[in-house]
Amino acid sequence: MNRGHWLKASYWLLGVLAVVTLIGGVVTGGQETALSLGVSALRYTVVVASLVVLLSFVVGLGGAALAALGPPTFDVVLSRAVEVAGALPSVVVVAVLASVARTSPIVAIGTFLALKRGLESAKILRAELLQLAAEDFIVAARASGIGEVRLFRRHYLPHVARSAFSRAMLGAGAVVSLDAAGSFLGVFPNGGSWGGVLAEALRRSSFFLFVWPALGTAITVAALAVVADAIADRGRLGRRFLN
Amino acid sequence: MLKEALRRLLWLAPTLFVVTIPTFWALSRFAEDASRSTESLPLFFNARPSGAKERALAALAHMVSSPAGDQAAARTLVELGGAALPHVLPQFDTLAPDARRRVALALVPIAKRMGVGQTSDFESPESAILFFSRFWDEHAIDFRPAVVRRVVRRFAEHPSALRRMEVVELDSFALPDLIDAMRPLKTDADVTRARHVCDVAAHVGSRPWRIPPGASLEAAKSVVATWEDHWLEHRGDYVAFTGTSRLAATFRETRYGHWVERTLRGGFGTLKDGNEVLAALRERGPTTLWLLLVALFIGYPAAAIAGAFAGIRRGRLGAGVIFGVACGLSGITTVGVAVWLSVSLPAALAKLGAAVAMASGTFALACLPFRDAVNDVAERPWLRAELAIGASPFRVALRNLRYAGARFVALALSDFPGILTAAFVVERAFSLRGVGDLTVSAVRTGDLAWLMSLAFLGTLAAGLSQIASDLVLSLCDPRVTLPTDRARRVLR
Repeated sequence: MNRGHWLKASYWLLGVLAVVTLIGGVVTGGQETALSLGVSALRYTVVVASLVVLLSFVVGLGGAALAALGPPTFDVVLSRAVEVAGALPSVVVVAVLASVARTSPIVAIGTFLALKRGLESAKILRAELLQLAAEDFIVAARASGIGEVRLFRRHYLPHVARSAFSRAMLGAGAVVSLDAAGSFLGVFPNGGSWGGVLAEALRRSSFFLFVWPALGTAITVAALAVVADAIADRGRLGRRFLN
Repeated sequence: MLKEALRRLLWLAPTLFVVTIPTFWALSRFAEDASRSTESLPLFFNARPSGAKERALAALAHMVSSPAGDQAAARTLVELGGAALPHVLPQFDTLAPDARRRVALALVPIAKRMGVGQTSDFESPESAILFFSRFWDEHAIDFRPAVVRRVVRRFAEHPSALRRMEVVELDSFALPDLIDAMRPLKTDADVTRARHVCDVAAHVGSRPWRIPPGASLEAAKSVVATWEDHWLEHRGDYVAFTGTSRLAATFRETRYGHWVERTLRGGFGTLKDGNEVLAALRERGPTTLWLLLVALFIGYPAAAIAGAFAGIRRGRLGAGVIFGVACGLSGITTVGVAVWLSVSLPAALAKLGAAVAMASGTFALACLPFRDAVNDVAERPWLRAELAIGASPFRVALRNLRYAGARFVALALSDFPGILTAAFVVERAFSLRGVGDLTVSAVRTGDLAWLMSLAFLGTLAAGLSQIASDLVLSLCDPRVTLPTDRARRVLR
């Protein structure tokens, strides 16, 4: 199988996951069976992982644009926000977030990961935007009197959007890991995702209960990474010389 | 660059101050939810700080308005002790006869604690009124800060029975100066002084915290720390807030103000189980630190090397294997690896198993981002030029290794919360005595002191590491700062 095949397989897998997420409730009929629990865990995982990808993309891009191109205060705020995000262990932040926002742990996990990944991404994208700002085509566009918003949309965005999105996709796998850690430590109740099932499997010492969410997560992470590579590679010139 | 580092170091203190405010707000709300209790003090701003004067006058008002005598108000007056007298006794003449009798009787336990008056003085309400009126006429001059400071200093420097009596006669009014006199505590002579001072403080404050004769320096420090913690919480019961001290009390007499004072004193306070936060950190910190070092010096380099290899050789078998291992470990998660190793390895190899679990967790976390970073680095113009003229990817990677250093440190920093969580999981799986157990129990019980200490130290570590990583970046790659400065100039 070459890379094209892997990419197609990844798209298929993610498509199937999306379909199961959408119609899963109808298929299982809301019964308390192993299948329905499995589908429910899958739906939670996919929904929260999607939230992480989309929100971290938006936060990353928006934060980077404000920090690099906005007033200097935003730059300072971004740096401090990254420091705050790294101050406490993830499980503690999720527990606090779930309590303060009065929401379920899995939503708190999604929100926390999205913000954290978004801020990290913003720091890296900020550097890319600052480098772009010194390029001749940006200086020329600015000299021609183009507005800030149009400048960003026409000249900055195409250069950073792909890498921002591919970076956001890599954060999706952390949902399972964090839910598993929190459930295992007993910091928050089982969030209902594959991570919760993993922790439950370890509590019951059930190999079969453990295998399928682990396998599901591994395959999903792989599929997301392949798709992220494909998206990012379209804008990468240097990549061609490595292959 | 050194100037920049110094500037940022100086900015670290105000940054910490600002960062702790929202953290304290969130953690306080969480702690209240978890422990299902509400604190009496406001969080950040105390518009009406209540000191000894306000409390004494409120208790007096309750006693006056309640014909049967308010027992709770009487107890409050006794708890306030000598600190209430300068506010209550001058009001004696303004009270109605009945109210005056009730108040005089309520003050009798204080007089007995102070060792003043005879039994006959307290036999009837009338004799008690007479006694307290005379007492105040004679001793009002003694209840002044300068006088009290001198009396306490004389006692602390040269303790004697007579000087002890002088301090005891001031009762809780002398507590602020007694607390001050407990420090410094460095020599055996200091221990002796603190023992005498604590003994009087225990008597006038009705608390059991005394230093036994022959106690060690550490034991004395522990008792004094208990007094200081108590003082921080109950200072308002014994001190009248007036003038600038009232203004300061709007901040100091808040939950955040108390936490700041405790942190500045270097103690971080006490846990809900009564142990000191610092002592717990000293005892459990090394285990967690060891796991973090394993992550930083084994897991991360392994992830960086494997990620770089997978990025450079993408599409080849070796890269595919690394990619598969990283995805597999992400699926199994640190929990899975740690539990499996803890079950399958003998107890003698527990530490090795913990290290492997920690390293594999870090590998799963960092390998794919490093692989992604290699692709980004390949976009640098000089690298593209080197590759285009036919240099092998490994040669290019080796020659430009130092440029990856900053990215390496930046990724390690941003992954810190995840790594710390992995360390907690590993500690639980292998039953290691690290900070994980305490943190989990703090989350369950809403132990604010521990959570805030963790947040404070985490922010401090993140801030210092950020400065260090920027220094590394500028040392490794001076070119990186140039486009940034140029871009900033263009934008301005």
